[in-house]
Amino acid sequence: MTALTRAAAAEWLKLRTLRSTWWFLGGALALMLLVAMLDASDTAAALRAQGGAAGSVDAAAPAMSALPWARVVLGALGLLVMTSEFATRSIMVTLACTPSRTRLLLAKACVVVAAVFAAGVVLAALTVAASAPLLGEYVDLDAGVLGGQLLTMGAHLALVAALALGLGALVRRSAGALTVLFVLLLVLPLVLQEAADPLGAEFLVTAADFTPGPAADRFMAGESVFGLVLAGWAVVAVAAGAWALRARDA
Amino acid sequence: MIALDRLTKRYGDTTAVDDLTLELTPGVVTGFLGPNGAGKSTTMRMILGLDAPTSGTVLVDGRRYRDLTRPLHTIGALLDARAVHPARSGRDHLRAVARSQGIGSSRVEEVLALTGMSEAARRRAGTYSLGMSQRLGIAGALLGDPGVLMLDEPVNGLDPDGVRWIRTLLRSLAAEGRTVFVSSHLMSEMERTADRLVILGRGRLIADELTERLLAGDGVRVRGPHLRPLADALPGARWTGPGELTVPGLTGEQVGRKALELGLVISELGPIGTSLEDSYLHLTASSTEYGARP
Repeated sequence: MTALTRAAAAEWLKLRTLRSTWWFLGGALALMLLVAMLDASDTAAALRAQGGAAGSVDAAAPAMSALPWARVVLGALGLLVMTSEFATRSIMVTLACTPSRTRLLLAKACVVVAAVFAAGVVLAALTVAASAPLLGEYVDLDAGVLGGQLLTMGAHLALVAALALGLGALVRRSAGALTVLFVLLLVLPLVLQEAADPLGAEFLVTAADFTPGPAADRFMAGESVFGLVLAGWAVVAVAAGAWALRARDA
Repeated sequence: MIALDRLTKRYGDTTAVDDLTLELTPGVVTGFLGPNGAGKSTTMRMILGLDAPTSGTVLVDGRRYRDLTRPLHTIGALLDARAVHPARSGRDHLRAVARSQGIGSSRVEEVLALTGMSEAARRRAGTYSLGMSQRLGIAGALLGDPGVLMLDEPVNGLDPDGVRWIRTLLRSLAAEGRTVFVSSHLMSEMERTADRLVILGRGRLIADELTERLLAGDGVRVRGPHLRPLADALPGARWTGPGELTVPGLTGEQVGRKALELGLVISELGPIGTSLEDSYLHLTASSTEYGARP
């Protein structure tokens, strides 16, 4: 086993032996089910009132509309993988075991990405299974398309969690890192869009699309190039986190 | 073996560790003493690579800590017994540490048994008493069967049984040829455990001596029924009790010979042992950061 796989094995054990990990996954599932099922029944009711065409709604659409909620919950999970080490001071033991900061963060990133991807696909599948039937005759179900969408949803959640992990390493405190995550996902695109008009700078609207939140949305909508944008954010955040871990005393 | 070479750590204007050069050798227990804020923990953190020195170097078995591939096989350390995620069980904590070093789970059970933590290992670490946390930390330090052990205040929070257990453990680890480096503010404990004492004050090395030499006092104490002639014959002698003289600067033999010359009966004659506490307070008097002022 290489040093990286040993570190990753330890991090995986640490992640799965915390009850809070399972609470986060349960919470994300509950939120997604709730939002997706409400969305599905609302959509169906609206179509019924307008006399919409049968098979006009994508089976995964309600689940996708619920995804931004899971994004925040699983982002917090990824963030805590790093910040809880500082809060409990267990970072001392962790770094004594794995002295290379870069290797440690890389190991954590691998574990977070793999675990959140797998959990995300399962969450998405369960949410589609619970919400799609509520669309009744308006559902448009194509197994091949749905499979791709489930993988995209999992990848999207995994990338946001990796982004949050990097922020956790950069900021160290849970509350601070969570604030930065919120600003990056929700506030920054709004500010850019609002500022575009008074400043007469149209490019800010375009720029807003490239911030993590909107990029994640467009990735979900099927524009795979925005998956790369989101991945870029995750890579930058993890790299910045690794730099901060190396530069500062533990 | 741990080698510190001109190790220095500064935080802004304050110097936590000041030009510390030290070699910790195998086979002995080295006690690390000093008042609060003397820089003991900072030194230990630099040995583990947690804090980067401002200048100077630390080598463990000739290598920098960060260059050790499976560090726990070289050096096992316990710096802060409470630095464990409180929601994880003691056993899972150790298993994670073991995984990171490629150590199997059977070794985890071994160190749990060795530290008397087998029973408690399934409980969440947050429910442990300080003494149990110390035992868990020591179990972690022993996990990789390292040649060097470094423990920061290991007897803190232990009951008398635990204190004796630690003392025996440290002595036997050193007897096996390992380097044992242990800090404490309990001087009486160090007096019994350490072969060598390193005393730090305001980040500077104040003393580095064999324990027995540090404890050896200066002069002898003599008791007997009629010692007045002896007191008159020996210049520096002074009365320190009824029928008791203290004679600085002379050996027991010299004082005994004098008494024989004078034909005096002596009931007791022996060296003055200073307690480590006295020597320690004497040595650190000028370097106590938060000393009480009269």
